[in-house]
Amino acid sequence: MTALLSIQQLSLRFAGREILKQLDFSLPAGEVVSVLGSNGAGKSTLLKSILGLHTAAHQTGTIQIAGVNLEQSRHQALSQLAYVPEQPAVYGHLSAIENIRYFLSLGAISQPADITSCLTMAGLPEHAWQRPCSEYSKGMKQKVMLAFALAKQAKLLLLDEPNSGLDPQATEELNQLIVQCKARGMGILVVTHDVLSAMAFSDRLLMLANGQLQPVTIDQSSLTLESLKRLYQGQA
Amino acid sequence: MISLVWKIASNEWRRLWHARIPALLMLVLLVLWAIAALAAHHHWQDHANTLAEVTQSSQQDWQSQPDRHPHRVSHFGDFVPKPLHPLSVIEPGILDQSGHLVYLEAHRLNSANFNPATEATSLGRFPLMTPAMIVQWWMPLFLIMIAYATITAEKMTGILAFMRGNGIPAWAIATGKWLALFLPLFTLLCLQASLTLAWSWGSDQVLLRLSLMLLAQAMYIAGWCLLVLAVSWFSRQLHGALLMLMLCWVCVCMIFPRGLANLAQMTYPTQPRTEAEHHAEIKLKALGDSHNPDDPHFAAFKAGILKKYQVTSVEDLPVNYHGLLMQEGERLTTAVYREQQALHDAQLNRQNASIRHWLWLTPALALQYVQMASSGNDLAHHQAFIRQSENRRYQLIQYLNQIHTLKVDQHDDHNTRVSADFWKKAPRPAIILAPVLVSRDSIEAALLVLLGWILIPGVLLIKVAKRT
Repeated sequence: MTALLSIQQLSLRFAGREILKQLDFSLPAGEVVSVLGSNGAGKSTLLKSILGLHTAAHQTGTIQIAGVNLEQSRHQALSQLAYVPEQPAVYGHLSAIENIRYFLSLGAISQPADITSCLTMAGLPEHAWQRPCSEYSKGMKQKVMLAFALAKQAKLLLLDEPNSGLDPQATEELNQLIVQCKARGMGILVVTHDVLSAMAFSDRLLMLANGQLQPVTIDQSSLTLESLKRLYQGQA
Repeated sequence: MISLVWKIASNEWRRLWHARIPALLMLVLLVLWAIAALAAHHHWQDHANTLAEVTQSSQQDWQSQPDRHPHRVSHFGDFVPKPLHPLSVIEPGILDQSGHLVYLEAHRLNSANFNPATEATSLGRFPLMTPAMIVQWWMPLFLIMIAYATITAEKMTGILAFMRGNGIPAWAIATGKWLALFLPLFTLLCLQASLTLAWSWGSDQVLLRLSLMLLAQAMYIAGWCLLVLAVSWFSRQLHGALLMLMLCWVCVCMIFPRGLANLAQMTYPTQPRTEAEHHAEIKLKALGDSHNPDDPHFAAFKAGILKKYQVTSVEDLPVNYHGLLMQEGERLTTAVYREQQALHDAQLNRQNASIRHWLWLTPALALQYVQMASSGNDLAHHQAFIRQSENRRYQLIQYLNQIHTLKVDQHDDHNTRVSADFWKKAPRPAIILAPVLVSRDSIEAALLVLLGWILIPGVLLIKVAKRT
């Protein structure tokens, strides 16, 4: 089966510092992978590389999205994925439906899914659909963005710190939504600091350190702040 | 792709409208523009009325002169109005400094010759608010206030990363946002041009002049839109974007234009009128004194005349010797005044050339150059007017001196009266507005600067957009 995301020998250098070192990674359909790492380890930079937002001068290696080479066919490759940044990026003057419709139209998505069904699935209350997003909480905005990913019928979902700033209830709802997306066969790559949530929805946990991804195993029963610090320092 | 750009632009308009303050600022700009247009129109109408009245009364006064001595006619004087193009409503240029009416008189320098035309480029005073000033100063300022956050805010809220990450090309975002800023302002410029065209239809070179003005204004505003976007895209914080853009505005619209003009005036100073007249007087005295029988120039002139008419005394001349002296005197004084004028013009041209050399520092001044040239109110048009009026003065005075020579009995010079028909037939050629190409050097330099003004922020925008 073709991997939804395939990264080969990815290296990235900024200001003389090597952020990513010959990194190899593969993500099949229906799998959730969470990438952990300390601040400045390069997690968001990895996502930017997958999105093709770094210039070729800084970056070497190959990235394929659903079998499409990112460097050769950027638009086609990106049409296969949906990216949700840490800040929920919606226009405050538009409603949830208008936001999704607008972003779909910009991406020239040929056959989007029904927006209202996606909003229902994302768990956004119906009474909020037509209200301007400036009135939404952060959790509601996250749901709008995930509804956009569903409407786009993306095969690959990239989430950057999705639980940041959410209360426990909203975090739980978001985690459930990620599990639902996985059940629909989406490949999901999550960059996060929220280890508990990552353990809840991930099939694999990876630690980004020294420019490389290493698999980690965490025993939930013995999880403490000290054990987490050791894990992030590579002493686990 | 056009549809993609258009969707981004439409959304930007909707966002600006919902944000209220940008819409309010746009409304204030419209009100300012309307006030400026009305005030400038009123001011122009005042000028036009004054000119019409003076032209008519001057013509009547001239025509109604009775039979009299030609020398009295030559000191009667002749008012000449400066031809005003209707586009002066948009840009009066140096009109308020150079004046719009001159008084021409025998062996006197015309009254506009030494007026300080340099004031035009100095921006040394805050003149009447005009539509040209709205475009040159206020439009960029309002644009900055409306749009400094356009991209910075989307960077801060993650929308830019979201769009880029979902495959929306940076060029489409930049073009869409640029169009959203440029199009409303360009519409306002077109509206201004259309209204001006309608009311000035049929005036001299109106299509060419208006097209030049609109082209320069559009280039200027397009450059500002690009710069605002480039700085907004580059900045991480809203206040950083606002401060950087305000600094650009202060430099481009205030400091550089004034600084360049002051520098040019310091480097190539012009003489005040009194000083110029004093220098001319010194030169005139050096030429000779027609009342001094021992003066070598006029002694030689007299000898030449006597020889020409083959007589031994001026009393035997078949023509009026005083008339001949007047002709010669006028020729000499005119040559001196024209030399003085040429020195003054050369100094003004050096000032202008010096400013043109550094014009790339300030597209605001480049725009002003094109606007003033298009409306016929720049230095080149003023100098062309001065040349024409001086020629008219010289032709008229020499005609009167000829009448004096041929029709006035020199034995009864003071009491002779010449028929008024001669004044009616006197040559008083109409003064016409110089063609716009008289300002070709300024226009070419200014358009080149405005082209650079689009290219440099455009390249900056492409560079910063690629980084995201």
